[in-house]
Amino acid sequence: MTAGMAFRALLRVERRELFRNRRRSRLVALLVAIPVAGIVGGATVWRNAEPNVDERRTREMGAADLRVDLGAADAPDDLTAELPPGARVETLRLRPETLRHAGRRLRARAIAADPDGLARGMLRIVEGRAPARPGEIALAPVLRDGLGASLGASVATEDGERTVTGVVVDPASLELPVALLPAAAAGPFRDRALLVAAGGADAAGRTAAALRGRGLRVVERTSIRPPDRFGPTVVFLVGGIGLFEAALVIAAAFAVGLRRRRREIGLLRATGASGVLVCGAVGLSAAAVAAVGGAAGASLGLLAAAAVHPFLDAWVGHECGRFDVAAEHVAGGVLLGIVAATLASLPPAVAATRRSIRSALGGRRPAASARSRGPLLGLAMAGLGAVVVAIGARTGGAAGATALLLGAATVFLGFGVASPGLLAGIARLAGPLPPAWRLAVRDAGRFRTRNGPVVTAVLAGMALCVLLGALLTSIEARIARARPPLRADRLVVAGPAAEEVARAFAREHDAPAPIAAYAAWVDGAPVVVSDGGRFGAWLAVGDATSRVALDASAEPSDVEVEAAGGRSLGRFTVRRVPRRAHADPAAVIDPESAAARGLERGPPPEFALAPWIVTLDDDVTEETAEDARAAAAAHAGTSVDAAILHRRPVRPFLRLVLAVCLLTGLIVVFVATALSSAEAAEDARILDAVGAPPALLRRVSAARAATLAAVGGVLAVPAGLLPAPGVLSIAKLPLAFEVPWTEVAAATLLLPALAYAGAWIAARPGAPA
Amino acid sequence: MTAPRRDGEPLLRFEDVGRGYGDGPHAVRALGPVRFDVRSGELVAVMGPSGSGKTTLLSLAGALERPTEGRVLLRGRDLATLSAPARAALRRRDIGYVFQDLNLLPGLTALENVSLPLELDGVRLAAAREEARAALDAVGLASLAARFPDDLSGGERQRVAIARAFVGPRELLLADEPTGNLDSVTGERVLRHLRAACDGGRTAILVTHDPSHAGWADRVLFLRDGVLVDEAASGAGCLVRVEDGP
Amino acid sequence: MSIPLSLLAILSDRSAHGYGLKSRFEESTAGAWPLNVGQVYTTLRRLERDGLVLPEEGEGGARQTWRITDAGRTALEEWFGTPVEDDPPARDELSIKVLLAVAADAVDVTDIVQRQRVATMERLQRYTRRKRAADPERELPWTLLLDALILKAEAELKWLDLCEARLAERGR
Repeated sequence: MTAGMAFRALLRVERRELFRNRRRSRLVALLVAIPVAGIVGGATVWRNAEPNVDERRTREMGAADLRVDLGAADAPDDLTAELPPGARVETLRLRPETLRHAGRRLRARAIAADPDGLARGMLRIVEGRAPARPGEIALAPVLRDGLGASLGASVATEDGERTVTGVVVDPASLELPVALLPAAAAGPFRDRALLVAAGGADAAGRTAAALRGRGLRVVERTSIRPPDRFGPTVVFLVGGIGLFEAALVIAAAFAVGLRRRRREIGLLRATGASGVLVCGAVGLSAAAVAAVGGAAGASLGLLAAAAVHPFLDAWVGHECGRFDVAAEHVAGGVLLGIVAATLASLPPAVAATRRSIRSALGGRRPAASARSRGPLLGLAMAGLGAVVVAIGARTGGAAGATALLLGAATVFLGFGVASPGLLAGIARLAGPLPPAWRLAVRDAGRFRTRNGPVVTAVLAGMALCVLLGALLTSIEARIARARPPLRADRLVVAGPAAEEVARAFAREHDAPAPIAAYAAWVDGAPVVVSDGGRFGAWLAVGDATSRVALDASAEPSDVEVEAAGGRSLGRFTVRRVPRRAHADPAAVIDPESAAARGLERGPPPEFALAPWIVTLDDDVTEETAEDARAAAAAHAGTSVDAAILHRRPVRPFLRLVLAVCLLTGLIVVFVATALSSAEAAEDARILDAVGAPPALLRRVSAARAATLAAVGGVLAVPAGLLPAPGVLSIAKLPLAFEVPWTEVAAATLLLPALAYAGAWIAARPGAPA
Repeated sequence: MTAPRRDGEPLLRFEDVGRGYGDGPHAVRALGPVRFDVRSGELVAVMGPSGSGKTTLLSLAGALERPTEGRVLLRGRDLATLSAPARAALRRRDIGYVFQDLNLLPGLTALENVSLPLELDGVRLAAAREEARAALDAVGLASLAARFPDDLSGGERQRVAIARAFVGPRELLLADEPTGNLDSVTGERVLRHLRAACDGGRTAILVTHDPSHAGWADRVLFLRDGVLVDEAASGAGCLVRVEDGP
Repeated sequence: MSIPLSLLAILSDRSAHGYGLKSRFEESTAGAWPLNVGQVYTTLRRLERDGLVLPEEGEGGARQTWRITDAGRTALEEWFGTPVEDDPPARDELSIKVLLAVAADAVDVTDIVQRQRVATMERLQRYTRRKRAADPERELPWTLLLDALILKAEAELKWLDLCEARLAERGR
């Protein structure tokens, strides 16, 4: 018999095996399908939720090539001189507006623009038509619903009654209360921006340079870059570890099947099939099942992504556009599934073919070899994995992500390799336990080699959750440190309309007049920060509250500070402020330091926007904060902050992650318990004969599940924490390593408890009478 | 050896017991009707060819199955009237089982296997272990108490099973081919322990197809096609006919 | 069963006088073969005639001891070295009875078989009860003999089972 013929014969055997063992084939397909569905669905949803480069550009500047932000200033008269011939220019004008209708009053951001001109895509009419004549207006859905003003209704604006002609949305922010006025609307406007269609990228570049030369702030279309691949990378990383978990269970499923077929494989090899051929046939059959499962999973993921797509807009708060699928996400997910399942089927196949033919045909269990180097080998692997994670974190990119996945998997595998030793150790201590637990723990120890993959799979899921938990908590802690606590009775308003909003708000709530953060002055001129030689913006003087408002960094740093005229004032210790708009200050200095340096303080320079602070009589409630937010939303770029808004933003997400990890851990445990049910049947007969109450059988199988879950859960804590510092270093921010101990402890306790409860419910009560 | 006690009511009584499986044209009667008594201290062997209903008879005696006709009485109590938990309690307190093989839970040591019924019955751990140790001692295996079943020979495993079947207050042992997988000398050693237990006042029903094993019994019941055809009693020169053949 | 060769076997261990031979023979065969002393002396004299044993020097009469000769040892080795031949086809009463019953259709063979089974079983039980009382360590010959008897009874029972099974098959 040639090798080719032999292989074909073996494939026939494997194919028959797949059909004969339908339950296992279905299980393997399902185990591949679930993570693949997660990967494909998650990556697709992310891709759709995140605006792509065209969407970003359109939202920033419609159909224009350039946007010139003028702020409150008027357009220079001779601007056309700088523009290439044939260039089109349209003006976008903004102002805060108060709308009244049927006794209700709402603040809005009024924009005068032509939604069919260059601003096409920045604003979109979703119902009715755009306002064309004076006295017409289109409202955002929030305004229409808030005012109860349907199409054709008349709403009062600050410059008279207007008729609602349509519903308009800002695709970048669906909740924004925008009101669209005709492009030619009269009246004062606070902010202006020019949209320029220069006719070609080269012309746009030259024009931008020329305009910048005139001291104007210009945004180029081409400067808006496509989004990074962070999201899909995270999805693949998490999904990859999910597949790793699935692969371990698949390995366990194949091991059960191959143990049952011990004699058959011995017979095949006695008739001359080499071990390599047998392994190849098993691997190929696994790949075939995984391909089916992967295809099903990918379809399911795409269907789910398509199903949630209509709700995505409301969820993420911006328009997600048409449903869009990336072929590489689908192919990548399916391929990952096939590779994982094939690799998972090989170790049990190799183990089955490495047994001597005689012992396989005899059907005897080979004498268990006492392997004591498991724990040491495991710890070595875990250490190696942590190193790979650290390297991957430093590398970045696709190679880095692969290294992260491989490193984390190696850490988890390392602890998994150590688990049989632990199971055996626990089994030795089981003497004083009640019978059900003693049986369960001893069985876990007795079948430690086959329980190893199960424990590893549970461990991987829980470790991932510990890892993500540590990551999220560290981010949260970083956020908390970056924002020193606000006084509970204070509201901080920042942005272009800060003063207006703060004053109006204080009036409405009978609060004392708001105060502004002050600028540092010296000799009648504002102090500027010379940041590394470049001319920076003004230096603010403020206490912790102002620093919060300005989002200043936590770490004070020394920078060169000069007077507006260029005279150096020396190096000051200041806190930096991220440059969001040219009007923001560059840094903050505390009042004491300012006084010590001989700086005066006063209202900020005319062009600058300082945060304003409202102090209320009582603590800020959720409603007041919401009210202030709505008021601020009427003005472009204005925001409100309050202590009550400083919720721990990560906790709900962390809990969700923990819940998902718990669920996968439970699924793994239940599948494993189901797989070992055949072996438990023998014990069941004996227990029945010695008069064990019918409930004992359920208790044993529940305790068995709980034991595996507990061991996996406990090992998951070090396994998750070991690669955590490496993963944390990916973040550009200097994150301090923090662990959500309460949540981790809760999950570690909950997993065995839920496993116990679930297995108890799943176990069929008692033997038939 | 002490003579079987023949006084008082029988420990176990089969009253025209039958057991069928399935219904309609596929109905099969595995046993019955059979009628016999087992008295305290007796070792009764049940012999018959394969499929004659030996194992069914044992399952009925051990309340693992319910009869479809007649009554099985243990100390005058009808087993069919007991609830599932009560029947389980019966197997903990009154009836011990020994199978051909795989009698012991591989996850428990010999001692723990023997003490299991007691522990399940709520006996304190220390007391249960002490009683189990005594039971192991009675079958000559006290020194192997801490071994796991995988580390015991076949004969030793069966002796541990006998120790477990008789541990605590239980006095009826139901053995289904307990020596089936053992060589003659080892099998005989197991039967000696069984015999010694019965001589000490315990009672046992031994299902076997091996005449030399049945020879250890006080009485031998012959079962064919589900009915008892004859009985041989050691020492009795005459034969006692219990039921006619079909 | 060869009594001369059995006596030779006992003498091959050590010399003995007539009565000693009788008791040691009975001990070795667990009393299954009672011998009388006269029979022992007749046999010894026949063995002496064939040159297989020799009376030892010293006192004669009842205390006369005998020892085995080299020719005797050779004869003994030959006997031990020859396997026991099968018995001729069964001619015992049980076999005959069953075979005749099968031939004569009128008789209920099953009944005969069952009666015999009970009887044999009871015999087997009696043997087993004796074995129960015996200590296999100290009373090895006795135990071995009982084993032989039990296995013969067992063979008989198995034969009866087979008869019954074949009759049932024919009846079908």
